[in-house]
Amino acid sequence: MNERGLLLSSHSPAMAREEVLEELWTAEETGMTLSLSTLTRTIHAGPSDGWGGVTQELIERGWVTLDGEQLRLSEDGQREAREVVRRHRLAEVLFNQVLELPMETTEAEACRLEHELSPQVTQAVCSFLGHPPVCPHGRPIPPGACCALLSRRVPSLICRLTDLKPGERGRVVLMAPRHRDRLDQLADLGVTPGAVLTLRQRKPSLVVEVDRTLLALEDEIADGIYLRPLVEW
Amino acid sequence: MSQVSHLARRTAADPVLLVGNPNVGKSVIFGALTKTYVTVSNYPGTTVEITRGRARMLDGMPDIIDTPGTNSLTPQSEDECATRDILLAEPDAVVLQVGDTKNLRRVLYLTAQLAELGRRQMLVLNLQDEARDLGVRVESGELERRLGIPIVPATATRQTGLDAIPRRLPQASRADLLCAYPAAIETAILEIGAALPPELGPARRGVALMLLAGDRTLGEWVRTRLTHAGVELVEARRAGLERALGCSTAIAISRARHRAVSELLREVFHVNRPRSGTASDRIGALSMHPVWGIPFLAVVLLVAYGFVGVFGAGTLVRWMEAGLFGRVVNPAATAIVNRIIPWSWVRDLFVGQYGIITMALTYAIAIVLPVVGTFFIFFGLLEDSGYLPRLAVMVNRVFRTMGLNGKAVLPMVLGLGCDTMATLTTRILPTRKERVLVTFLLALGVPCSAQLGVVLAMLGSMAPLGTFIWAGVVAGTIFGVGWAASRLMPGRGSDFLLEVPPIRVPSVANILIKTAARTEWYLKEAVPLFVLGTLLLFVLNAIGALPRLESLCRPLVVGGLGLPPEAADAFLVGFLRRDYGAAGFFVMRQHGRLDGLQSLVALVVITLFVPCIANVFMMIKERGIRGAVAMVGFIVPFAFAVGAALNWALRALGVRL
Repeated sequence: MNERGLLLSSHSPAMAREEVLEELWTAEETGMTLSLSTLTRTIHAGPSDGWGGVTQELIERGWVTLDGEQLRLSEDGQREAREVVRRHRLAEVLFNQVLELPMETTEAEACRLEHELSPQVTQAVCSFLGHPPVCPHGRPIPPGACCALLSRRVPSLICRLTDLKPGERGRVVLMAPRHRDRLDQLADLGVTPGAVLTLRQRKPSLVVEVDRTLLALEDEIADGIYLRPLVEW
Repeated sequence: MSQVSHLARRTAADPVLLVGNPNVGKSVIFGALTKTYVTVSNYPGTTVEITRGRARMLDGMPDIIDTPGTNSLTPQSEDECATRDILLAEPDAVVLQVGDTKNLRRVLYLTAQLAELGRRQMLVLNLQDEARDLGVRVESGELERRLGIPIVPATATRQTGLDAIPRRLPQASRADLLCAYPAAIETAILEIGAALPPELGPARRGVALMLLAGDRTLGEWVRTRLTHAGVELVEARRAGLERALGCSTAIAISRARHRAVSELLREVFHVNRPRSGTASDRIGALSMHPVWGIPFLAVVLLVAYGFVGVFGAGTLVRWMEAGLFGRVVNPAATAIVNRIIPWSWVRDLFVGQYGIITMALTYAIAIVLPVVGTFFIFFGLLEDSGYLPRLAVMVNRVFRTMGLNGKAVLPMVLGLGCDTMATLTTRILPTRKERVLVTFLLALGVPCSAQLGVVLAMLGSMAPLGTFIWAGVVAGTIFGVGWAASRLMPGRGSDFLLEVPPIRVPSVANILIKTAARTEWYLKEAVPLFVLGTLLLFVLNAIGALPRLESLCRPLVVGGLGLPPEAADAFLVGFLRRDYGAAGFFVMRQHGRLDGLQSLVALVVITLFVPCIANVFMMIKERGIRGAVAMVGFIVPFAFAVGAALNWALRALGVRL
């Protein structure tokens, strides 16, 4: 991953701290701990001895503790790291699964955005994506406050057509089918941003109602249709 | 336009084009205006061949053309392409747009595109009954005022509202439904419009939009009408627009159209009560329910078997063959021929063993016609009720194993009626690969109703195990070969995307007219081939070649398939029509020349045969000579190989039928 050239020198102090926190979170997630020397050699932002100074600073702030040779996140450190990781992985979902950018671009852009997104924007992105539980690599996305609301059965802002249950309705906000010609065809049938779709059934084939027309769709097509669910109270 | 066509226009004899979305009743209106019949049905595809007629109910009796249903003039299938091409080829024609009232959004989306082509048009808001049932109300007076075109509410199947069409059509004009496109697109429209041939007149705006949307199906049309610089201009503008708009031009265009239509809908389209499930809705949902859909299908099949298999192939055939032909026609014909024709070979030609009356007509009219007739009635009911697209929903996943999707069930089921008609209908499939696969599977394994009737009658005479083995081998072959072919063939299939029309109660009159039209088509198609086949056998028999052919085929027919040598006759005529071949086995079975096992082997081979000469011609027409030859070259040896393998396996296992 060194070739991405994200060298320590190009990082602001805050960014550099976040990189280390992220690295430690990722390691702890898989049940590992890192020593300072391992960290400086393997950090995904690009190995450099300079990470030693950054880590030292984190220890002084009380975000990282030393357990013998091994670095550990403190409670405060965990709170910070969790937010960085959350931003990174949400960005990955957005770029890779919604915008369908290649993984390489996704990675690079997510690494930049993780330092940039404000809490407000992060929450909006998370809601837009329907509070996804995992990133494209399959690693868990730490839930934010907005996701906790979800667990209290507040519907997500955006979901895919395939996420609806039969009988539920949603307004189309975004269409990202795999083949572009599908887009024109769906538009001709009235499936276009702004249209209200009602899912009639999932099996044996997905059937939706748009206006007063029934359409049978392949799941692959339905996967590319993003809706804002309409809830009737 | 030239002076001449202007004069022609004043005589009010400009052709009329029926244009509209699929399943909105265009064909019924065509029938009402021409008083002649065309196939009306519930799924896209049956009007692939353009139907022309003379609108006797309209002033000046203009030509009227029924175009395939389309949702847009930027086509997504060969059908839609045909409609667009006709519109461009008939610039003086008046457009009679037919729309489904409850789906006014899609109707007006098409109206907007017709307006961009500068077409004179009127609009029939059909299916008022269904709209009423759903609580949909359209203020057609207000819509008429806004669009400035005649609008006629109608329920074509009940003949209401149609009488207003002749009166209103002369007032047809261009719809006042202009979509506001982004400024960059408007500029490009003007630039490209200026590069288009001036004789296109007001159609230039619409054509410029089609070109900007990147419609590749316009290729040939563009090459003959646009200069090289013009083509480059189009490409440059489209690429520029995509960059500027951040999305494809086609999408930006369709968005602007939807916006314009939505604004109009707000004023004229009202839903008075929330959508509640009608009976037709509930039946519709049941028929494609993951669990209940299966017993539903079983009931449909059972009814089909009872009506076509038991009543058509059993009762009716008995009346016709033993009764009508056995007691009346054949004895009478024999008596007359014996009286008036002195030469014995001419007598044989008509009433001998291979006689035109005693063999060809008896087969065609007495054995096959009752089966085909009952099948067409049943298929008409399936079509008009809206069940077929629901069947597609049910089988989509199964068809995926053959590289196809649910949409392919439509030609496949039609193939159970007539493979030749079905081969024509493969045009509704979006990719070339799917069209080739379905053409191939139709020719290989889908028995047409004529043959199916004979096959079922024979299977009925043996143990039920025979029917299972036959169905298993045929279905297994279709899926196995389909699976292999879809993997060997280059190209890609398509995702399943199909409109499911509402469940409707079929009109008896419509079914009867349709069945009559199809039966007539069948008789014209099949009877000459039956006669031709009989003549072939007669000549071969007269010159003494038949025994030689039989002995030539002996190793294959007797050795490989374990059949009596005269079975070669049936295979021989099977090359002309496989149902004729099956009918030959039927007679052999009646005369006790085939035991159960032999019948089963013979039936499997003849089912896997190429359907008929007409089907081969259709394959050549649709898939090209090379494709057709390759398919036939595979199918014939393959059919015999499967038959030989089955014969060997059944004997090795000691199966008794």
